Amino acid sequence: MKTSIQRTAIAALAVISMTGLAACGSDSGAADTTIAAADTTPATPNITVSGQWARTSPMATDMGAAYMTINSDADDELLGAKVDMSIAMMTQVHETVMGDGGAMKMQEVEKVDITAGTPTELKPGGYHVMLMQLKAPLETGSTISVTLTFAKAGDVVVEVPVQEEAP
Amino acid sequence: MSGMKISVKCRAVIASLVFIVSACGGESTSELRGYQAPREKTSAGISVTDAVTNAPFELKAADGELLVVYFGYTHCPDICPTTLVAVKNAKKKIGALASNVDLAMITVDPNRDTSEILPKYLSSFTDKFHALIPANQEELRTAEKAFDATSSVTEVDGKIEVVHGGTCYIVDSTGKVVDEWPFGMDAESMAHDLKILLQQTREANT
Repeated sequence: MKTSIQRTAIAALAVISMTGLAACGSDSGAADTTIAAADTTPATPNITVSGQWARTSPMATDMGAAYMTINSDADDELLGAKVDMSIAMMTQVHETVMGDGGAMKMQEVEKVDITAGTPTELKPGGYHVMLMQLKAPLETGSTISVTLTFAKAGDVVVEVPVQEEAP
Repeated sequence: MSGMKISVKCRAVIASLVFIVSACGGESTSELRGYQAPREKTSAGISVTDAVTNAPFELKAADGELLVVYFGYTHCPDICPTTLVAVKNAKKKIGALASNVDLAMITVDPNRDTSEILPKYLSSFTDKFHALIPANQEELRTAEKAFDATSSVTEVDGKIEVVHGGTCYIVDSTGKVVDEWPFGMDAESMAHDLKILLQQTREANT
């Protein structure tokens, strides 16, 4: 009995330490987050998100933005994003587009095409996850969970660190 | 004879230093990386209401300083904070010289950017700023015209859509626009230009 408990404990420790090692293995500050989609049919793309960050929100504004690079092993479409309502009331995927004479505006996008093997960047001046009506300022050092919704891969949850600049 | 030796050594050292400097520069170090418009622009004599003092603020730098003029709005989640963080970091890169760099942000969305909000917003990026809120459309358009900037605020399906330029205009103490930084210019390049322009300012004052 004792032995079996010990064995279980050792096995559990081994699993924990392996998980720990895997988590530490990431080469950047913002850990790569790969989360298998709930739906596991063979056609489900594997989505990998890296370099994710959300900007520290300046004082007196209730808008925020999150950026990241999305990789997939199969074609897919990013349909939307959401965060818990305790963080922001509304979340949309936006694109900053440049018009005549360098004037810029943001617009909501219906979808972002994800091409297999080609990184899709959400970065300043382009696509971004826009957080509207923030409940509290996004503070440097904190982390928010952003759920990305893909047409095929379904929901993918990404832990996004808040920082002043891109990692 | 020994003097000769030293001078040869010195020359070698100088030559290698020159080599290192030119290798690092990769381009002329005295050339601005920003944009200089073919048309000479000036904002001398043009003022926008300062939200802190409630008095008109003329769009020109104090003597010996540079003024970074930016048209933006606080509900902007992408372009404005990206640019203002770059300006903040550029100032960090030039050390003590940064005290000669002033920032004036003119809101293009004066209905939402009140005198409560705009100064607080700017204080997130710098402690040397002017939060400018146009008293009326004319004040905004006159200021924009000086820089060839444009903006619009429209309501589409109950949502407010703001269109604005993302350029920083660098103005000297005469009101002349001496450099323009398009959106996406990095802090390193901004710092590079600030150093050159502040040097020119110092030379002009002596």
